[in-house]
Amino acid sequence: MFGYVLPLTAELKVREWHAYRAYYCGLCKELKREYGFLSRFLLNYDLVLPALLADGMAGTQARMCPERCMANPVEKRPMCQSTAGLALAADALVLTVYYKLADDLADERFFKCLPALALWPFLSRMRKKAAARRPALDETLREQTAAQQALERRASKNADEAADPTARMTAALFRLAAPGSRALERMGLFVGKIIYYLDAAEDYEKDTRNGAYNVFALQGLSKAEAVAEAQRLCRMCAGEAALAYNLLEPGPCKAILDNIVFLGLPQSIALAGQKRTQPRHGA
Amino acid sequence: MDAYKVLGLTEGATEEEIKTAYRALAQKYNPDNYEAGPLREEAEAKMTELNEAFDALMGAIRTGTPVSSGRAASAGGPEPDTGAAANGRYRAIRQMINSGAVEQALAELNAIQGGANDAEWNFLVGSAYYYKGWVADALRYFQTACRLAPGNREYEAALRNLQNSAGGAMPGNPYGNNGMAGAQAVGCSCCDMCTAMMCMDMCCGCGRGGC
Repeated sequence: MFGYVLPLTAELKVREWHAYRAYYCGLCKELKREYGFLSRFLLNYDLVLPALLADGMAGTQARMCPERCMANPVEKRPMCQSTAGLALAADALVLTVYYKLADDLADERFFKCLPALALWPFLSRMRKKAAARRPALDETLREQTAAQQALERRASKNADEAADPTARMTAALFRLAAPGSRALERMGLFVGKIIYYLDAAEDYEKDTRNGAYNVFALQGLSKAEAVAEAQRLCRMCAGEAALAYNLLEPGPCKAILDNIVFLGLPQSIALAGQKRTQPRHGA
Repeated sequence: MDAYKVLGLTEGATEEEIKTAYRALAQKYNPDNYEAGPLREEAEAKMTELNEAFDALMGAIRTGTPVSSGRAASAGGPEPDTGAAANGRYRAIRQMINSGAVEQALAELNAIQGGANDAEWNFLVGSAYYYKGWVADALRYFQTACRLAPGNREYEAALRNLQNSAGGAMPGNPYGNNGMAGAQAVGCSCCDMCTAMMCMDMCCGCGRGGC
């Protein structure tokens, strides 16, 4: 829920950390503004990256204003006002959560997500609005969710094949962040694969217990072997993501983006398979 | 094109600064890293822009005399295996891969009998998977290609790039490829400074003079 695509905060300058947090808070505010109060529970760090990239490549300097946080109501904090990047991230977040839930329901695993299930009627309504704004992304997510279900039904043991739908979904999202940038789209492809593999490594035990699809389990790997394999695959993908990222003009937030790509991703990869029970950053 | 912006410098940069900036960026846009993949044209465009900016700035410093320096060679694209006879069918498949028709290329390759024993076949299958982003499969096929044709520079470069990434290397890493360790290695920590002060105090009365 909290995300794998994060900066390594220890290596951020304080002002960079504040700027990153302002974007995260800005995303929360955007969700509340566009999709209502309950949508904030869907908040995820992973979507901050495409927001930063979209605005960075467009050369947008986000405006910050002090506002109150629902989780920390005592003091006001600088938060990003709405930008094109945040609008995209909010729409994409709603769509990805909707399709993830729809996938879970189809697998009859819904009894595991009761809290999320309570959001379902709201989520359907939110999804309609998001889909109207981003029809191509909605279509890609629908297609790729079906593709994911198909490969799980035939119990594919190929890690690349298993990660492909997630990769294509993330690539489609990054494509919207800067239309025409093949490098950005390719970066999205590999970021999606990293998210898939880290997720599969973290969920290894849960999946084997519930009889749910897990590509590493199907390859006959133990938990430790699964984590090692996930890390190997993720490192290759991180290298490829870096290659694509190097061809971009990241804009004013370059320092934060460099940190996420070259420090944050390797950090998340190094922590593969470990349960993260709470966000690593103060809310 | 703002030559200073391309090199990430401000006006008044010295020749040394320009050369250092050039070297760092040339490493980032190194065509070797992009030769086998779909971003080759984008990388070449960046390299060309970098070379033009470098020439402009160096020319300005040397008052109009154009400078040729050790610029990174801009690769024209993946060269066919120079040792083997150019196979027409493989050449067509390379075109397909380079233009992004990856599924078509894979279909053609799978239709070739006995391809699995041929180095170039394995390399092309690997390249097609690499274009798709299926790096695990690409790595396997590159390994086979290198095993079947040891010494082939094109295959070895493709394999080496993926193996380096698998080992944690990230091209163009501004923190150095030791990651956090690299970042921390730069500069003194408070502990370093304190220790140095204590040593100085013991050895030479903290700079007051002789033993």
